Amino acid sequence: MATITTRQHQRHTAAAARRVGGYSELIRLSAERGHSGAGSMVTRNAITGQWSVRPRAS
Amino acid sequence: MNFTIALLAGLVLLLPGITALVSWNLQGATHGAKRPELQLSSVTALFVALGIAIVMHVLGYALVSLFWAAAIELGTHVTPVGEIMQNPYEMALALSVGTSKPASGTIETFLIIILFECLLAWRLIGSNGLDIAMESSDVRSQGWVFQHIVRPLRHGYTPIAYVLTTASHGEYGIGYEGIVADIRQGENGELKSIGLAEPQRFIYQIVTDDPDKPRRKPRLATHDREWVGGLVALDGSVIRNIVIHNVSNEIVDEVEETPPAEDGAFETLPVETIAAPAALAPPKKPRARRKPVVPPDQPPPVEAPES
Repeated sequence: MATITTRQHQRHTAAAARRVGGYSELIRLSAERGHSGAGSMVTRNAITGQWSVRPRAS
Repeated sequence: MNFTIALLAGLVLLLPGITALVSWNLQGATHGAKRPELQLSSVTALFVALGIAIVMHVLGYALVSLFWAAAIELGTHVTPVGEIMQNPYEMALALSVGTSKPASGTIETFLIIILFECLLAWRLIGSNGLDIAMESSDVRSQGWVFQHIVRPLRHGYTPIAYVLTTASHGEYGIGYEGIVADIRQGENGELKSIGLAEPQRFIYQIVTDDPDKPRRKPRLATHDREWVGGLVALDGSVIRNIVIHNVSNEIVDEVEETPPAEDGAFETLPVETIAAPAALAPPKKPRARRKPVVPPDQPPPVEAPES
């Protein structure tokens, strides 16, 4: 019986969640991205280490 | 036409509709979101297959006739390569009523057209357009699983579940958060089990900030989050409640594509554009003291002589 998501898909998403600090943080970024629209991107503040969604630099 | 040939011809004509049903069933098998099949009778399936086959043949006949007419018209202007072949659909109709015999290559052309129609039916069933058109109709009667897990998954989102279990010790309980790998529903749509891949395990607690004020609203606190890895399968009887969020796959790709932190190049925007914390900000210049404003009808204040 197949699963909904493939192992590769699961590992890929879990690796991203580990980088940002957990699934809750990934959900927060996705929600922020949804509010910001298509012209935004995920960035990380090099000083504080905080991940956030910012407008894409033109 | 004898009975065997007629049966074979009927199967060939129904082939696009049967292909659509196979495509539909295979999509369900790969979803991993299961609910026991409801009262979907074989008569309904046969009716759907027949309807799709008729639609495909009407569309195929229109396109083939258009192409044949264009080819004949083109043959009057350029030197034709060979003889004009009979329209495969008209040949099939004439063959079925026994008025003519098939010309060379016509049957092969007709079979190739049928295969193209099967391919079209396969792609149509799996297409996003059909899914959007059937958005409001939950064909498999999966309810919230269909709207919050199956459909987002087909459109570039990953479902992540936050599950609180009934396993508890005093005021503490165990919860999991992970990617939905598998979910099962019972006959009435109730949750039977869920499988979470690469989960995080945590301990949850309902705490009150100020014990002296018991009427103040408590909040949910989590402790000791740790990555478990692998997969955790939770039976429906141990699940207290469950929250489903969907994360865009674009976000996951962007996070993965961000360069590592060791070289200090984590930031995709210039560092200067980001506000530094107060500890690292440059020291502020002392502000000059403002002179007190004296109303015109009062004498100016007398400054004390410096010693």
